[in-house]
Amino acid sequence: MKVLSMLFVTSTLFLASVLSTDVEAKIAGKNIIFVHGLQTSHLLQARGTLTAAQRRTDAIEQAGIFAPKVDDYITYSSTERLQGVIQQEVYNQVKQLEAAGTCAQGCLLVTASTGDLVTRYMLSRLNAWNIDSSRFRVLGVVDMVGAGGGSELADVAVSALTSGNFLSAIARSAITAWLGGDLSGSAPSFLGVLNDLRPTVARVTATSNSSIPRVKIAGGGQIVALNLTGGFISGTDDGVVGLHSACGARYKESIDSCSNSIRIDGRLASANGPSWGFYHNQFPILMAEDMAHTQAATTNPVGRLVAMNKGINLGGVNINPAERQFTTGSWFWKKTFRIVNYNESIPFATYLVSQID
Amino acid sequence: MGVLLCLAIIVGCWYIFTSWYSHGDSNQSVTSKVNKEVAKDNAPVQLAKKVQKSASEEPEEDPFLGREMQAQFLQVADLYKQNSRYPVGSIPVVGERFAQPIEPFEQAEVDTPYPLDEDDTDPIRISASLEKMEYFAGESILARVLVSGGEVDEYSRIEVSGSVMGVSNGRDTGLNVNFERVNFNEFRSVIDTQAVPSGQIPREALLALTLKLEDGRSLAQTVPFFYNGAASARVENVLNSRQDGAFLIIPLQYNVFESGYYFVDSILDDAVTGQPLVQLQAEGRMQIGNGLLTLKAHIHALMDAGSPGPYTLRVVSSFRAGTLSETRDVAATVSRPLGYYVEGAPFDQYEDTPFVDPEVQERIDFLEEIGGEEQEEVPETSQGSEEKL
Repeated sequence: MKVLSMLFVTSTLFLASVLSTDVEAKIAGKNIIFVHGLQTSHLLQARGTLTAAQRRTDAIEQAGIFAPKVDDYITYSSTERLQGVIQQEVYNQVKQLEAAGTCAQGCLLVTASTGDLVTRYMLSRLNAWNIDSSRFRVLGVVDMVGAGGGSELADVAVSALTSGNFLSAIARSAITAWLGGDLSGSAPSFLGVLNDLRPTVARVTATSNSSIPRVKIAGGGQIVALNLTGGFISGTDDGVVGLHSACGARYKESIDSCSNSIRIDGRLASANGPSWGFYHNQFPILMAEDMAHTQAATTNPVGRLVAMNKGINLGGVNINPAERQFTTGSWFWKKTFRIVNYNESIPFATYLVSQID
Repeated sequence: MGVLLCLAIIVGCWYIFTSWYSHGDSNQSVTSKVNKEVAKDNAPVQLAKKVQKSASEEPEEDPFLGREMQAQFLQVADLYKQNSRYPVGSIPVVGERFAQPIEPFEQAEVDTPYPLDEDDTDPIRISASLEKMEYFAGESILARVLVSGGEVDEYSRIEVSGSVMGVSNGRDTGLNVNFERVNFNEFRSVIDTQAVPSGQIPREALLALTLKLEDGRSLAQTVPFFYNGAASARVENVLNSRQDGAFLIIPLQYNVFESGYYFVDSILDDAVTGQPLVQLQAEGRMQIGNGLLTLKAHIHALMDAGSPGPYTLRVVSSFRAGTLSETRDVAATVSRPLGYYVEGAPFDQYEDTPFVDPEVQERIDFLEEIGGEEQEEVPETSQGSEEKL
């Protein structure tokens, strides 16, 4: 795990230094706010010891290749609960953004993992917090490998860690690899936002319909250190969250694609997608078959990119976006695939930014 | 024999045809295959002209070549535009699962496999659940444990024990819970909260279970739930509904016990058929005493759902948002869980104006700009304004 972290940081810092020289923040002229995911390192620290500066440093590190594009961050302590210290931390930062006018002309929020859930909660509370919508205007959200629907790994972690009973060697390995340390015997309160990431809790949190569009990017890859975790997660997963969460599915389901008509490898065939649709105004746009949970903002290859939407209707003409379609096999073994025309040697984050910048 | 020969010829022809056809498809951009199947949309004009031009001529120019992600954002803009025909607090839900009443043991369920190792393809699974997620003081908490997978022969020797744990008033709490076997793979428990000393069940609690197997293994499982000492408010009634422009206004009357910011989520059913029609949501501040939250059903949501009423309004959930210093929202109770009668009106008595929210339009413009669209002036088409749900 530490080796992975080192590689992650090294590659991130290198790319950040290269990109930062000539990359301007903003996308489509709007500021970018990054909301990070679970910081497992926080769980190893005593509660109340994290400073805002440290949270920000951790957030920049997690933003990875996106960091040069980010104008500001919303950070939180992963060792705290969403309704508790985290909401106070988030509220304070939103008030600062409101006062500074950072989002007065509109902002795009980019979230990773748990940032999906934190952002959903935050957006549902803006009116309750008396945030001036003309000073803090969110135009859209991009959720990468979102944990808005929770992760079954959090179920396993909370049950195992609070009981001090690791269930099995495989569960111990998976949880220790994910959290980066042995937290056995921890009280539930110490496990902070992990309690909020349990699917039963996440799926009753901030359920109001939102008028803010959210695009979802999901992965189906595994990283070596976490290849044991998938057995605990419903359906296809990226090592930490299942597609039911990353795609924005309305219910926790055992699904293998964000779509019912295209599979995560791009094959055009009936797929085990969500039976009951997605959260209101949440739109999955991409699946990356080989993208693991921690790889969206790194240089690691993510494999094929598969677009969700079949076609676009322009001026009465239905067309398909530039994608590559190919077939393999023949006769009964013939399979047709449709994938995004993407050079897999380019880091995904770099590609994404270059496309929408 | 003749039939088989004919069949072979037909299949052979089909194979040759499909091989030829798929060869044409292989390894080339799909975009060049512009088709004119659907002719119904209000999508961006400039790019459309370009596409139509390339469609009428030889389609050499691919408008999305090199900007595939932009195309995805354009599509999201399209889908978002469709959704935004309705206010977020008034959405047709015909056929949607979330419009159905929540089944017992559906919401508060934790289902976990316990593989022995990587090769354990049929591990024992524990599905532990509570009848519901949110309880009030005085209610009985019904818990269920289902065992599946693994060796079925072992089930009869499984023992289940449990406790309710958490932190209340700054100290750890623990309350032992007894489970009884009701089936070969099912255990149940009832916690009578009236018999539990005050403070023994925290506002946010875990039902912690231990299952002892014959081989000496013990499996741990926890189920989170919320326990409210008292409700924050009670939904008392629906006052007379009325039309206002393009909306059916439905005032929801509360008896508020704690001042604060409230949310309500509800489903409007057809009173005659029971068919779920529209999801209605609202939020707002209420003070102690008599309170009101106003639900607003848009005419287009009602029309698309296909019922002018009368209706039954089912309150699915309502709660007071926890303040910044609090750690939980506090649920409200509902005086009539089966619903409240709501008078409807013929559709022609409403103003038939589309809902347009300026902030939504700005978001559409933004998505289209990411998608590479140049923005055009949008004419004023509606009296709609930003709805607080």
